[in-house]
Amino acid sequence: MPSIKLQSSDEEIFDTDIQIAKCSGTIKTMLEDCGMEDDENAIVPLPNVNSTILRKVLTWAHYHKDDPQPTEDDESKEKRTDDIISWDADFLKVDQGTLFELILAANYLDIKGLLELTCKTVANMIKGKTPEEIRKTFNIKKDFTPAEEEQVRKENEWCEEK
Amino acid sequence: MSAPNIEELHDDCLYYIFQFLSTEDRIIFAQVCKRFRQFFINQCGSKYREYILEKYSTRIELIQFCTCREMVTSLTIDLDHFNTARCFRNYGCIASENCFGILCQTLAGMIGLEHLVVKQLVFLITPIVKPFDQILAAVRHLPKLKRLEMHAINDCSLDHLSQLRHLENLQILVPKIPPTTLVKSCKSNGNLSSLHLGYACVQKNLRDIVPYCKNLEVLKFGMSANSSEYLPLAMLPKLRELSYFGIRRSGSFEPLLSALAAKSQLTHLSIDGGSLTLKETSQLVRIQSLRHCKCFCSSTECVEMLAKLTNLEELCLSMSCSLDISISLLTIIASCKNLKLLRIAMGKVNTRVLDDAIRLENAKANENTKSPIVLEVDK
Repeated sequence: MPSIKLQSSDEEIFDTDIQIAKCSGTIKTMLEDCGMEDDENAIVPLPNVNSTILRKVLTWAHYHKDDPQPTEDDESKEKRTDDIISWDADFLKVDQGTLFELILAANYLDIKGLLELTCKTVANMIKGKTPEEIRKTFNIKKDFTPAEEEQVRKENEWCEEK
Repeated sequence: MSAPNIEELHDDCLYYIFQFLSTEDRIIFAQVCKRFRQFFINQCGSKYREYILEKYSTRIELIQFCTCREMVTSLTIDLDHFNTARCFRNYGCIASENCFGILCQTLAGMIGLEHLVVKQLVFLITPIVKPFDQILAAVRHLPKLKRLEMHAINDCSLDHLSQLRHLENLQILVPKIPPTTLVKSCKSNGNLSSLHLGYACVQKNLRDIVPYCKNLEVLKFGMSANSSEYLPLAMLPKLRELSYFGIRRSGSFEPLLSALAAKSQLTHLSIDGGSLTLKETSQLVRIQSLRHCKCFCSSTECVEMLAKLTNLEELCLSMSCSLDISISLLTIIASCKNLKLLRIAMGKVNTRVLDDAIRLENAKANENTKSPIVLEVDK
């Protein structure tokens, strides 16, 4: 199986199976556009991903290398979040910083499956919480002006129709 | 570099998270911080650009609508939502005063609102005091609000109407508006170009608006009062389209038509109610600028006289008796060279003769590359 070399932002080289590397849309395009596919010694620089995160991404990609391509579906509807397999759940038992770095990396590398998984995990951390609990969970500062806060408080008072 | 937090995610990542949330959770999400709120508005705002608040509007929908208020450009408020008469209904709002307060506060922030409709079309039982006035007070500073329509079947207070400044198109379909309120409102909305008054909602002193309606081009009204009450409308400097509807006194339009003929700038005239007398018709046909005309006739002489309006493009004629007017219509078809539509309601016509005549005219028209005449007869 041919392999290529991926270089993380902290200049660590990852010898990677080309099929696994290509689950990243970004890398796939890079290889195809630059004709690097047949060059064993070519190095693909990934300046936006550090070695810790790249290692995790590659672990994930390795486990999911035989997954079918994710299908496009209706984007306006709420999607399921209770269908995370246990391997993925264990894989994402990480601190929040790592989780967000994984999202940023999946987005940059264009790995749809990983992006969906990580965002689904964040969505699960939001679901059923109050705004205050969400702020606490993610350490977000409430930056509304008093007028905006009043508006938010008011709009919540629309009564349920009877 | 320190570990990133959720606020460092790009919008496209937030979008992924967002699509895994239910509507309820999305609303909560929008209440976390400014950025999330703006993100929510960007995602959902387009759904509320044109919104109708009606009796079945749900809480979830209304909260989203409020959140996206800056995106709303066109809003219809059916006051039935705030009806507290509980018999026969199991919808609508139960704490109407409070909810109406939320609505008014939200309205004041609808900076993009261009078109507002407020309706009271069923008898309303509600603790809300002067709902129309409260709404008007809430929207009075909105800079883009140019079009306002108010429909009410019961008396309502519109005192705050004159506090609006940017109206160009105003419809007041209510039982009554005090003339002083109307005059003040015309005065404060100097760019008013279209005014539609419900039948008899002003009975007297309509003439008082004339000095303040320098830009009024379209006027629709109806009243049973003496012709002197509306004769001065002919002095509106930019008036192009005039519509009258409802019952009127026989011959009451003669003075106004005579004054309009002297200026000859009217392009649309509709007198929907009351057959034209011969005297009225002879004044009407002097308005040579007319291109669209709708009226009632009761004699063949009147119909034939309309042929003098040689610039007509559209004529909608209703007959108040069953005379055969085919011959008179032939005269019109022959002399009105720009005629595109001839619509006859409630008249006896020989459609075969007319169709022949029109075919002949249209054949000529084809040579001159003019648009053909269309005949519509309602029986």
